[in-house]
Amino acid sequence: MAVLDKLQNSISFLYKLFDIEEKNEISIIEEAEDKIQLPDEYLERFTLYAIQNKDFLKNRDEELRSLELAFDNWKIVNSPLLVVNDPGEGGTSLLHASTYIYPTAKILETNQAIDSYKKLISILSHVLRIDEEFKTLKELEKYINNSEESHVLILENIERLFIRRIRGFDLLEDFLLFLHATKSKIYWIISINKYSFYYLNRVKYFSSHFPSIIHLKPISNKQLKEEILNRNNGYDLVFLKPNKITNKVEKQLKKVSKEERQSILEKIFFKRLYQFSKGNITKAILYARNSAYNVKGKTVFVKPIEIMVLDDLSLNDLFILEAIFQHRSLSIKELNIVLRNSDRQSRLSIEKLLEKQLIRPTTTIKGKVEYRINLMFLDILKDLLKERLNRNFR
Amino acid sequence: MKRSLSVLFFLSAISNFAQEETVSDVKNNVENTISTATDVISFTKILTIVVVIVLTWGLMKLLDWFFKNLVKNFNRHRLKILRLQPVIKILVWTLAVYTLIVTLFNPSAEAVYALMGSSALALGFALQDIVKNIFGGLLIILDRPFQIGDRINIKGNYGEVVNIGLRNTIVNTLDDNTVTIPNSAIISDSISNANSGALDCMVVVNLWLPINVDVTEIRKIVQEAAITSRYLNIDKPVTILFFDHFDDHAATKVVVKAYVLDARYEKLFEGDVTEASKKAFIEAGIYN
Repeated sequence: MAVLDKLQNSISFLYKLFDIEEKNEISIIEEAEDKIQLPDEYLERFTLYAIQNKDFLKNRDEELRSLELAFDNWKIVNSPLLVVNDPGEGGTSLLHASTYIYPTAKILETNQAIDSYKKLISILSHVLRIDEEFKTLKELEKYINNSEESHVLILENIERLFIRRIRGFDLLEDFLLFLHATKSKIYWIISINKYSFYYLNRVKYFSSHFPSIIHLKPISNKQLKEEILNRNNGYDLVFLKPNKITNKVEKQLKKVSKEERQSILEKIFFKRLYQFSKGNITKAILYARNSAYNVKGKTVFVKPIEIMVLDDLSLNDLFILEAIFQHRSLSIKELNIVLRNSDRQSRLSIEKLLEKQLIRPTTTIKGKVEYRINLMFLDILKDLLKERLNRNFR
Repeated sequence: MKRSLSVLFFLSAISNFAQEETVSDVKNNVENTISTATDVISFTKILTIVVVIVLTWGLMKLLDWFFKNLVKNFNRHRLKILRLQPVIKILVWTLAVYTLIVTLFNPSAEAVYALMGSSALALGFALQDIVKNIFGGLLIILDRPFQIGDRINIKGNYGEVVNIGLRNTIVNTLDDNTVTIPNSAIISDSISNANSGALDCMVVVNLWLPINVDVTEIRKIVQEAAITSRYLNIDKPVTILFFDHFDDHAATKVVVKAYVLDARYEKLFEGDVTEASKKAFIEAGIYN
C-alpha cells in the first residue's frame, strides 16, 4: 500500500512538473472523526471572561503602570489615551482591572455598531448619567463643559463608530472632535482593535489624536502555561501523541520510559500552544480546550490539535475577512455596504466562511446577527492578508 | 598508321593508369571521410546530445514549476522571484550549449577564435535579426527597464510582462491578448513602466463633473471612494486634483491618484472608485 502511495505521489509530482493536468479527478471524502463530548463541568473551566480585579490580572504590570502614568498626565495636559489590542489579548480585562486607578470610571462597551448620531448621543448621555436630551453632539459638549463634574470614561472598541463607506467616517470624526472638546472634563480611555487601528491610521491618521498610546504586549510563555495548568487544576493530565510527529521524535518516544514519554509529549503540547497563541491568552485557552481529547473521571487526555492550512481562499473571501477585521464584527447588511456587494453575494460568501469555521456568528442584545473572526484562525488569517493583499500590517 | 596506333595505345595506357590512380584516391578519400565521420558522429556522442537536451528541457520545466510554486506561496515577493527566472533560464541554456560544443568538438582555443571570426561574419548577415533580438534580450535582462510582472506600455500595447525570452518579450494586455514583441524592437523604443518591480502601482482615475460643483464636497466623496475601495493599497497616499476644462463644454475634471494593492487589480480599482463616486454624486444631487 505504501509503495502504491509513493508511486501515486511520484506520478502526481511528474504531472505537476510537466504542467500536465491530471484527468482523473479524485474525490476524497474523509470520514468525519467522532467528537467525544467532554463533561460540562470540565468545559466550564475554559469559559472566557474579562477580569475585573487588578489582583487577578497577571503579567500586565507594565501596562498598568502606563495607565497610571497616563492618568497623571491627563491631570496636567488633558490628553486622552488609546489602548491598542488584538481580540482575545486581554484588553477588556486590563481596562476593567485598571479601575482601581480611577474608581469612578464609567465603562462603555460598544459591542454593537453605533451608526447614528442619535445612538451615540443617547449612549454617551446614559453612561455619563445625564438626564437631559440633546439633539447634537455640540449641545452635549456644551453641557459637559459647563458642568462642574469631571469624568473618566472608558470607551471600548471605537472601531464600531465607523463603517467603511462614503460618509461612513463622519460619526467617528465628529466623535473625535467631541473628544478633543471635552478632554478637560472627561479623561477618555479608548480601546481599538489592532487591524482597525492599522486601517484608520493609514486613511485617517487616527493615532495623531492620541498623544498616549498603549500597545498590549504578548503574555509570557511561562504565564500561559500557568494559566492552562490552573484551569486543569484537580485533573491529571495525560498527554497523547499528536497526529503529526517527526520520525526523530517517534523513534525517541519508543526508546524512553513512560514518565519520560509523558514529559516529552507535554513539552510538545506546550511548544505547539505557544507557537499557536503567540502570547494571546484567549487563543491559548481555546487551544487547550480544543486539545482536550477525552475526560475520564479526573483524568484528561490531551492531544495537540492540528491547525488547518488555508490555501483555498478566494480574493473575495479575503476581502470579506479583511472587512470583518477592520470593524471587529459585521452583519450581512453592513457587509453589503462595505464591499458594495449584493445581499445574495454576501450571504453566499458568509456561508462559505462559516462552513470553514473561519468566522463565527454572534447575536447582539437587539437580536442582530453579526460575524466575527474565529480566534482560532486569527494569526493565520492576518498572515494571509499580509501575503495576499499586500498589507504592511505588523 | 603504325605510329598513330602506338600513340593511341600509349594514351589509352596513360588514361587507364590515371583512372586506376583516381579510383584508388577516391577510395582512400571516402575511407578517410567515413573514418572521420564515425569519429565525429559516434553513438556515445549522439547519446550525449540526447541526454543533454532532455536534461535541459527537464530542468527548464522543473524551473517553471519551481517558480510557479514560489510565486503561489510567496505572492508578496512575486516580482522579485520572477525577476530571477529569465536570468537562470539563460544560464541553463548557455551551459547546455557549452556542454554540447565541448563534448562534440572539443575545440582548441585557436579553432574557437577562427570559428568565431568566420562565423561572426556569416551569422551577422544570415541571422541579423535573430542576433539583434538575442542581444536585445540580454540587454533587457541586464539593464532591466522592466521585469516579469511589470505593467508596461510598449508600442501602444499596455499590459503585464509575462515572459522575457532570448528573442521576444511577451505582454499580456488588459483584454487578455498575448502580444509577442521582438526584443530588438523593445530596446529601440521608449517604454513606460507603471510599477517598476513593485507589486502595487499608481492608478489614475479621471472623473468629469459640471463646472459649478462644490469642490469641497467632491473632494470628500472622491477621497472616501478611494479609501473605502477594497483594492486600495492603504499604505500609500491618495491624491485628489481638480482641473477646469473649456474645450467643447465647460467641465471640472477630477483626477484621483492612488495606489492599487496589486497591479493586476488596476482596472478593478478604477471601476470601483468610479462606481462608488458616481453613486455618491447622484445621492448628493451633483449631476442635477
